[in-house]
Amino acid sequence: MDMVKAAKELLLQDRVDIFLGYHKLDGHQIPHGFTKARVADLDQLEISLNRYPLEKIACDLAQKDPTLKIGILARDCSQRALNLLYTWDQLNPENIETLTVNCCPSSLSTHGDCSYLKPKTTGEYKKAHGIDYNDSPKDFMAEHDSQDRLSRWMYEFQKCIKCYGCRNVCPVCFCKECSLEHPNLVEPGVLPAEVPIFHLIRATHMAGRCIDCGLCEDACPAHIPLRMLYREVNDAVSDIFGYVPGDHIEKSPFSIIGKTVELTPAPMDV
Amino acid sequence: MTLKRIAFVQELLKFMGLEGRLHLEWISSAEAQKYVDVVTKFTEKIRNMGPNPLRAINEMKKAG
Amino acid sequence: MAGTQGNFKVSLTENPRYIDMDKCIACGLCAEKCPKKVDDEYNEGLGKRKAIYVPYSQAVPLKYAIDDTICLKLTKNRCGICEKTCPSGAINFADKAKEKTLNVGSIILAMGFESFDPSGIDSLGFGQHPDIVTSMGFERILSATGPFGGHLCLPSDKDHEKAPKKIAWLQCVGSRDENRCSNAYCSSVCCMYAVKQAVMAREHSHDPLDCAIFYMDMRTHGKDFDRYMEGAKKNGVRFIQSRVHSVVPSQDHQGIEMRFIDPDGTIQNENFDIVVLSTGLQISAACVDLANTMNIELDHGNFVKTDSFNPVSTSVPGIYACGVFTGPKDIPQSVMEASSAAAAATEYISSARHTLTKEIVIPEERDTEYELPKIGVFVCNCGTNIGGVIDVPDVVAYARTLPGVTYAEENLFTCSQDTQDKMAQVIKEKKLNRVVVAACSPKTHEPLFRQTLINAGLNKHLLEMANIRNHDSWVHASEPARATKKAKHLVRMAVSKSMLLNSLFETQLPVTQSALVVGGGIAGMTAALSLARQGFPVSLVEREQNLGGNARKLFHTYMDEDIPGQVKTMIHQVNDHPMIHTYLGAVIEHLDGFVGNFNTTLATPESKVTIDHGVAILATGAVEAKPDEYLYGKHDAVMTHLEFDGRLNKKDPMLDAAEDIAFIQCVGSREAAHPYCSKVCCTHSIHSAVEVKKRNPNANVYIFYRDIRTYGKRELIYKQARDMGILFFRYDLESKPRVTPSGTGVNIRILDHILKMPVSIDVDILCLASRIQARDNQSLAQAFKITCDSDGWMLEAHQKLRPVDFATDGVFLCGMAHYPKPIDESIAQAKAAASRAITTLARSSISVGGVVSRVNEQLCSGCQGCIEVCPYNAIQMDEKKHVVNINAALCKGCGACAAACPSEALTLEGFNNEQIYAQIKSAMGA
Repeated sequence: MDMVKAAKELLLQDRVDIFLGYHKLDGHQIPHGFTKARVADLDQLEISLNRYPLEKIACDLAQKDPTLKIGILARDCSQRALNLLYTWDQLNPENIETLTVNCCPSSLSTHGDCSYLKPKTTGEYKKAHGIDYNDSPKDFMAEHDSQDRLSRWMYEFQKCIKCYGCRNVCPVCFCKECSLEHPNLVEPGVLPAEVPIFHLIRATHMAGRCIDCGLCEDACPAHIPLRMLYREVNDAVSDIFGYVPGDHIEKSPFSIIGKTVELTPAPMDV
Repeated sequence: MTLKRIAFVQELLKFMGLEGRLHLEWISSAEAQKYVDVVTKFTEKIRNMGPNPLRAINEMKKAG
Repeated sequence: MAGTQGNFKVSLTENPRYIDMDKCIACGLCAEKCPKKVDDEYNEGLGKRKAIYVPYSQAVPLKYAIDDTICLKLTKNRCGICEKTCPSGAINFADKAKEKTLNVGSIILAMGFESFDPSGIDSLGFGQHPDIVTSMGFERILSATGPFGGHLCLPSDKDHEKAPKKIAWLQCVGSRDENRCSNAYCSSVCCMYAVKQAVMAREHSHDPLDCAIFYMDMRTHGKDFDRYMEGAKKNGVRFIQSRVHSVVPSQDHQGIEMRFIDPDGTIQNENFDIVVLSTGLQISAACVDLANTMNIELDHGNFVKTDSFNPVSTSVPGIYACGVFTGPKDIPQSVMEASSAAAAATEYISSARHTLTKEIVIPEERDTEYELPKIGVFVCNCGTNIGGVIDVPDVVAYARTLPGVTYAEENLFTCSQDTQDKMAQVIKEKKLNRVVVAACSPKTHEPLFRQTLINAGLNKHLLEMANIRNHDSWVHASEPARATKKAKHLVRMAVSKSMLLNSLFETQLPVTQSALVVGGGIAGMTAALSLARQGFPVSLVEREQNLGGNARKLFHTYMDEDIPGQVKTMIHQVNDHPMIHTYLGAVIEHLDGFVGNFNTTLATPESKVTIDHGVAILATGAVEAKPDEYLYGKHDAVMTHLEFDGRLNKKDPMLDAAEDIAFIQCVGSREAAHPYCSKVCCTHSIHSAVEVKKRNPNANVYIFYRDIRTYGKRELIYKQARDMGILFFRYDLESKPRVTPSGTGVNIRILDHILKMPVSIDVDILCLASRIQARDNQSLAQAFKITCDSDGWMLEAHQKLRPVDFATDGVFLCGMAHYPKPIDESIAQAKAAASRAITTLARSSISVGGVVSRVNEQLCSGCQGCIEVCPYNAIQMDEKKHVVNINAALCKGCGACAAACPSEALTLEGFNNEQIYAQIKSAMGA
């Protein structure tokens, strides 16, 4: 298989010290770091279907040893995540080698093999009281009035069991200490998590950062449509600032003061 | 910076169905009248909108 | 005034104010009660004020005064109600004028100007209709503190409701006019302020507003001014080139009728609702008198006579002048001249620096770090200001119940001296370690209370203020019960924050008391000389092998001063000065450090040199752009200004032989690619034209221009040129002159606006007023952490108020690196830069710390978002640790980084997140 050969080459030619991919353990695909010392393990390399934030593992490794050269199995979303991490100085692009996986369908590949490609099914109750996974933020805005929007989001948020899965799996969450655990912002030891502040804090921190990989929504045991929430957040960022995170290496607009004021404050509508 | 952040948060709140409760206005220390006008207008607007719906939800939650 | 430079004796009369400044708390009760009303001169008579008053709401110091010409008590011995009303007993009707004698080494005259009074010009109708106003009056109408609260309305409408639909501005009222007044000069600022007023009026207006500016030449020659004017044009402000000859209030009292001849030559009538007379600047008779008493020479326009190389020196040694008193100018130029006059004034007397300094003895600070909070709350009645509305004893009783509060009391005036002493005593006795003052604004009183803490041996940052006056009793005077409740909330918030306050410390960082000046042109040399003359060593770096820069190639100033001769003198002075070390052929290779402690590596032709310096002045100048039109470089008859000046200097016979000479203005300037005015070229061309005419009176001289921008006193040379028979042809950007070869000379064709006919002229020499172009300062900008604007000019900290500073501390700019400018302005700015630099250099150390940002390295993930938002370049990346660190010497405590950090790794001392959350929680938990 080409991918195996390419990964082996990276290790054998010392272009990387470690290669991050997946292998099967007890029937489960899990992330694994392959090394030159056990290069034969690469024959067991798994590349399909399952997804984990390998970039996050790369960040952890890089933090322990900034000189470490890391090879990484990269889907399109990983590429966006990497760009973002380069932008925010969490990874050094010079130390990263990527092997691109056939992922989302495009003009180059007719099929994809990402678990995310199948449309999700939303139950009838959820459709009636909560939010359809497949709804777009724009349609959602258009179809529901303000009161309805609030009650639907409240329905979704109140299911939260505060497992922090969304944050833990997020490839672009890199803060050492998280605002979601800040006692002044989110009351500790309370379930369900304080609504909506818990989710809005995370949404705000995702603005200009979320690269729409969907891992959070996959991970959420409470079936909260997080991907759609962060999509809206990113839409706002791209509408207001013309910035799409992960597109290329460019600072988020939240960190740019700019020399001229182009926006004007919205007038108060009574 | 403030302008950008507020514009964003206004969008987010609108998406959540909580629009109209955040407003940004630049008023210099020399513009007392403007300050009074804006604050009065905003207070009245909020009063007309009624109490924050989240308060009701959180109280319901506490009550079980 | 008596004496000479270095030792003047000046007698001053201080007129009585009838108010004890120490007691007045500016509560305003006196003015409320005062029965005597007069026209408010600050609002140009559009509003009223009382006999006891503050001239304007932002006056410093904010203290009242009594107008003794109208006060009933002082004129007729009646009334006296203010004395009874004043809660602090500040009124003193027995106040007398005081005589003072000062012994000073230098004197600076900064007496400003008066706005031209158009009442004498009948045809303008000022005074005949309330809607004909001066520009000063209109400025007040637009102002939020003005007579109509910033609502744009017709002054004639008693209810201040009727909004104007059409406003006209008439330029050059009392300027460029020797017929209706005797002000031949241009007032320099009116074109720009008219454009600004038009733009602002449109912003103020709810309905579409028609704004028309009637002008002779639009003189928007300042930095970014042309861009602003073009923006106004695009947004619909009309610019009509016409001198309006009569303004008549219309018969039916509906608006004002204006009659004028439009650029096509037809007579037009148009009605406007408001007519603004853009009145010029002039020197008041009182200033002229004072100048005469001091024997200071004035020019024809009554401005102080100065020369280009000493722009702030008067004819009397030791007396200096700045601002409009030396000639019409705008704010940035006035600010520059002010600093410049300060530099000139100290050059001669610099040996006296620090000789009158007194040191303050500060009591030792108590270490409170391990003490439990013991909070003292002081609630001020502010006379009746607070106590008259809020139930102060109730607030005090409430404060005593708050956690951490061990002491609470009320004061009549917390800010009075005796209360201050008592407060310090209480702090010591009760061993308080946090102080909450519930009174007025920290903006005005925090420094005072901090001093009290210092006097009581407490760290000054252990103070928190609750503003129960401005934010409470003043605005809720009609609801005392609720105001009292709000006061309790405010006190509770302050107490909960104060619980988390900690001592902040400042450390002293030594300053290297020497300067680096980059650029050895006129500006750089002037700055270096000024610093050296005041006793500070200077390293002067010049990239070329010679000092002098562009000035070496110039001929004369518009005042006919010989530039190369003066430059030669200046170079000698630089070379002879023991405090100046000049590095020729040198460039900056590397720069480290920050204000007070820079370290620069220079690459000189011989070797590498490292220099320690406390400040840096950037004077890298600009260059004359090479034109790519009008046959430049393709025909020998076509040349630029510098090339023409070269021929003037050499007395080239080609100039004397030429019978026809033409100048084309705005070559490369004021165009889409370079939308700025090069400022100096109009004067330069006209001066060269006059010089040609002087040498050869029979020569025909033509100037092709868009707007003649001979601002200020330069207008006189424009008049001289017209008197000498020099011909001026106006063209606009859409129909530029066409230049074709014609034998040894060239032919110029243009459509003349007035004749409405094509004009064709053969000339022997064509001089192009080529654009002045910024140098590529990219690497310099990176090294010094400064920015350049889109035209390449270095960007100052504030275009009006800080024209020689950068946002980065310890770095200053002057000369053409900032913007094109003539020699007098370059020199003024260079001296100003020296003056600003000395504010750092004169200190042996700088205080670092206090309210600054701090990094918690454990939390920082090194994303560098904070670096981008810091306006002062105070944050750097520590690549090794992968965290940022903050240079406390540069941090101004704005808090932008703390707001930007997603992990709260950065906090602003004195306003940290815990403190703010505590305040918010306390506010919500009522």
